Amino acid sequence: MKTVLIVEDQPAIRAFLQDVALSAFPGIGAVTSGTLAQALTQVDARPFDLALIDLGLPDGSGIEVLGALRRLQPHCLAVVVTIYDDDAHLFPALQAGAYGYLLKEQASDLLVGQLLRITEGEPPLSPPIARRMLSHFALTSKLSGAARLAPPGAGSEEESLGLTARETEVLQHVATGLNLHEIAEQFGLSKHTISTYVKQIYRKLNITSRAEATMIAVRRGLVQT
Amino acid sequence: MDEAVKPDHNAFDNRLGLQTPAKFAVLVLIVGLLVALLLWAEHRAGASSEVQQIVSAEFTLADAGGSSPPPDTRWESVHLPDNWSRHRRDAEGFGWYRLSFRSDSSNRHDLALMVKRVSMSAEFYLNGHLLNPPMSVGEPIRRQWNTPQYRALPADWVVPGTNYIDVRIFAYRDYNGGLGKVAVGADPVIHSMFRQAHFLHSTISAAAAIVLLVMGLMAVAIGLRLGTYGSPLFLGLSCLLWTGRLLNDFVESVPLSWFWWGWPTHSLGGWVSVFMLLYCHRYMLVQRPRLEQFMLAYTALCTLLVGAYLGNLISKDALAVIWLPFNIGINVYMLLVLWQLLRQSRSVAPFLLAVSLAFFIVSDLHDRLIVTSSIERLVGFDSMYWRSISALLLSFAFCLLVADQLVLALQEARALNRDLEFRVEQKSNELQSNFERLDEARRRQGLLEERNRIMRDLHDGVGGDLVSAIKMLESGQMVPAQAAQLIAQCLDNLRLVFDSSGEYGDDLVAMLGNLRYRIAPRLSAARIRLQLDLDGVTRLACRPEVTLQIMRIVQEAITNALKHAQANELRIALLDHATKLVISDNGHGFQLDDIIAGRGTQNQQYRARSVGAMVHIESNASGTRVVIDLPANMQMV
Repeated sequence: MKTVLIVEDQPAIRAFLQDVALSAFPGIGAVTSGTLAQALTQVDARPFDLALIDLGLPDGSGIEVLGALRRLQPHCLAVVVTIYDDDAHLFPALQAGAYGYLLKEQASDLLVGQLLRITEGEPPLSPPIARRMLSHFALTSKLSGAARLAPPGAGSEEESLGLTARETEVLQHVATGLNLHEIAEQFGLSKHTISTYVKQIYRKLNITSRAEATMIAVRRGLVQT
Repeated sequence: MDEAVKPDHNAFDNRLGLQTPAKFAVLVLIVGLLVALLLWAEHRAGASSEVQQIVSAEFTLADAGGSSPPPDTRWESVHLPDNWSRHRRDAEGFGWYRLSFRSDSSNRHDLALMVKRVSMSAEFYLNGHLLNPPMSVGEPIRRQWNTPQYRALPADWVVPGTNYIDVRIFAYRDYNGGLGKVAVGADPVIHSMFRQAHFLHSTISAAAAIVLLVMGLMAVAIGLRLGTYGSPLFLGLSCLLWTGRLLNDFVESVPLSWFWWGWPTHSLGGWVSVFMLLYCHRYMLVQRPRLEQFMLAYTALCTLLVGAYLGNLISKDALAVIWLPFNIGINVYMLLVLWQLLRQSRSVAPFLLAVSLAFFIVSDLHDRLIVTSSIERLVGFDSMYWRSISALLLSFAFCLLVADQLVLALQEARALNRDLEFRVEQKSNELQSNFERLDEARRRQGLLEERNRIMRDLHDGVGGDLVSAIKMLESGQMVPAQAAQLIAQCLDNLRLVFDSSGEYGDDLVAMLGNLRYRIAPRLSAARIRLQLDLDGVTRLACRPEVTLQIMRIVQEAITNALKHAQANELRIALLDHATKLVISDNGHGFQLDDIIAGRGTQNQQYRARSVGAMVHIESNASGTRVVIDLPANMQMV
């Protein structure tokens, strides 16, 4: 972790986030921006290893920064920083490629711990997000079957686009408020295994989300079939 | 003329844009032309310069078996046609006519004779030789009263100079016996004349009978189904009876006695007229039940009298005295109806009905003249009967009427359908726009209610906490840690409001899951282990404001446990089939009369009551237990 991009319009919180990043990764170089335009310029200008992005910016949504990062810097870990953990705020961010999210009001030591776990590969998942995922996959599997949603060249991945029974079970447990550690205990599995399940779910979400976006584009006549 | 209801069943309005007198004039013209045409056809069928028309003869009323009249008989000179009804009313039985014609030796043609009418039946002799077939007298009936007769005259029996033709005829009294003009000439010419006459007298009658039969059956079938309005039932009956009457004009053999054939045949004419008038009444929507009853009753009476007359119970004069005035009355009334019909007719069909009615009257008169021979020069005894022509005309009018009514019914049905479609569309549009308005109103109402609820919730929860934080900070009573705690509490409250407004805001289980996830870091920091026992319930549905209040109670109970209890275990459990929610800790409890705790408890009680729940708190040295009796209307899944 060499450089972090911090996108946050409130100076106090910007400074607070900078402290959190430094505590988690001592010596990391921080670049801050208070607006969407500035952030996009910086994403264009240099590579980042980590990005902490607030969703509500004065000149637009942090989702656009997530999109630019996924396009230009796919190896950068993008983490959303928000005060809300409900699905209406977070789900679009996760679909846009966020690796995780932090709740601003938490004490800095808690945030540092969470940030470290995200960078170590623990996927972000809250009950509202889990519920949203369950209904998302229920809907996409209904939408004329997962196979048709597969992007061109997906080949053998087609049948794996729906959730497996185990993945569904994990999401159902998350929805009742259990964290991955507790779920791992209940299943008698390692936390790492549960994390793998969750990452698999995210991968499917990204694929189905892209397929969904393509379908919408086709329906609107933006793409020639 | 009573016109209670104006008929409006003319399909082609104003196609006859004429005043009634003008229409009458057109009608008279048409009928006049028809009469002229028929008289001309009749004349042509009997006229040829190549034949001898024998118009004078000798007659004797006596029977003699064999091939000739008795030699000592007294002959009487007669003029042909000779009508017994006119010249010898009371005569009946057999009679002989003797006619003569001259044959030149130069005549190389075969000869033949033809007579348009010889009634009732007859046989012909040439110079004493019978020209087959012989006549048949008696029952069952076999006669040729209306069928023109043709006989070839064999060359062997024809002598140069004067030849005699004897005609032996059989006639009933009052049965219109007689002999028409006899034409003698070259066989081909005579045969052609015979064929024309046969067509006019016999073939047309047969054709008309068939047409009338079909028409009558159709009209009766329609009438029985259609009901009263414009019902052709009576027209159908009229046609069927008329068919019966026409049979007598061309059928030569009848397997009945004179009485049983004669009675219906002579009664039917009256019924035909009456039923035709009844039909006109129905068609014009004229209601005269008394008159109709009278006509039917009188006709029934006349029918009985005809039977009595044929059974020789009353005389023909008595029958005539009773029937004739009625018959004249019927005809006059028919003229009135005809005028009425003309006034109402705005299309071809009713006009043609009027024409056929007019011709019916004229033909009735004409056919009477044949019987009476009153104007012999114009309407001879051997003229054709016009009732068959009249029948065809009426059939034609009826066809047009049915077509009119069919077209009218179709047009009405189409118009009705269009109207109905239009109205349905209008109604469905109205319904749609009403529905949209209602939907919009409901949506606005829902938004308003939701906004009000969120505002109220924010004000109740977050607003109160923020105000107390401000006041305490202003008065310096609060250390930063307390302020941070109070503001964090505000944020928790804000999240609850958010959750309850979200997609799963109506599900207490989802809300509990969110809360557990949210407080997990804080609890683990305080080294408190949290156990959530949902008793297998995956969804507990109720209104968002209810979940919000219950979640506030739960959140406050957890906050209290964190703050005061010094517990290391916290349990949230759904019990008793999800009718109870229990939050318990293993801390050291607190005194229920503690001021702060007391106020918190009161607050919880108030919140619970506002949504139909109950809160019950037990606290002792081994821990605190907050029991929420959930509202009854929650739906468990």
